[in-house]
Amino acid sequence: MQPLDPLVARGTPVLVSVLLAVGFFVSALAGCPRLPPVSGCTPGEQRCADDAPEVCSASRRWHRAGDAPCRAVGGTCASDGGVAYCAPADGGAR
Amino acid sequence: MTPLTWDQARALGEHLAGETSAVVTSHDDGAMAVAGTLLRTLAAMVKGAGPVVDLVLARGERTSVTLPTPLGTIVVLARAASASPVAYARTITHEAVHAGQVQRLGGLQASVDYLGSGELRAVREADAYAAGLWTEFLLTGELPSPDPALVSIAGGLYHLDAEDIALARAVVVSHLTTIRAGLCPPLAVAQSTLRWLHANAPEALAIEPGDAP
Repeated sequence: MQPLDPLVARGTPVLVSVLLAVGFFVSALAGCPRLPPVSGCTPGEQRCADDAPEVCSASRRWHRAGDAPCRAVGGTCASDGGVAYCAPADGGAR
Repeated sequence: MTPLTWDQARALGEHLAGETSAVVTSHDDGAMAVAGTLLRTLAAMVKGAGPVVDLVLARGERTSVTLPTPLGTIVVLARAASASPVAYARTITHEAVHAGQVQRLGGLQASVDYLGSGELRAVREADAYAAGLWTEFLLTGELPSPDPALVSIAGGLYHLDAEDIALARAVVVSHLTTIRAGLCPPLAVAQSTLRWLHANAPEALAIEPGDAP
């Protein structure tokens, strides 16, 4: 097999990087922020949904606090005083 | 209890970076210049992103950045992260949450979400700050006040309006209420940090989950 010309060998990774970068940014042009759907909730309101705390935004969308359900940390979602959070699943027994 | 060492803090950072497919570098490595160029290019293409990027780059020495690139996620740590092993662990935990967001959503969508929506930026920063507070809690035994995090979120760096700041505050308060209840916040990076410390630096843990403050 013919060895690569040193200039080509040096240039190929650069070219690949440039193409990847161009693809990345061109794709970004087409993107929009992926917001949760408008639900009509009251801004500031909190709730438990799918065993996870959620907070209502000013645009009336539910946003999850965290990236896992409460059961993943050994808890269950609870609401107290208007704050939704993960509480021990056993009610606090250790 | 023995304070976390630098070697342990860096090993935790490598672990979290590995789990979130990120590479960690320091501000001194010149990576910030590359990150800045990429960020400015991306900001030019996402409506409303310019002021956010300008603010982040203007505070480059004090602000750590997680940047999705076509070749992978880069975490550029600010000099402030070198203040102590605990500061390093807190910072790397925060940035690992962002790296996890990139991993979960994809670099493109994570970037567009973060730069294009104050609401999404507020929630993602709140999750990341909460993970940092959790790490600090594990290593010091003192539940940190949310105030410095909220001041930072509201301080202009993230270019959030009052409604977005209120949203971030509510998310941080939810996570701190979970910690007060004796549980790890429902964040994959927070869980991973606890598991790693348990396995590799148990003497540095100042508190066990379940010991509600």
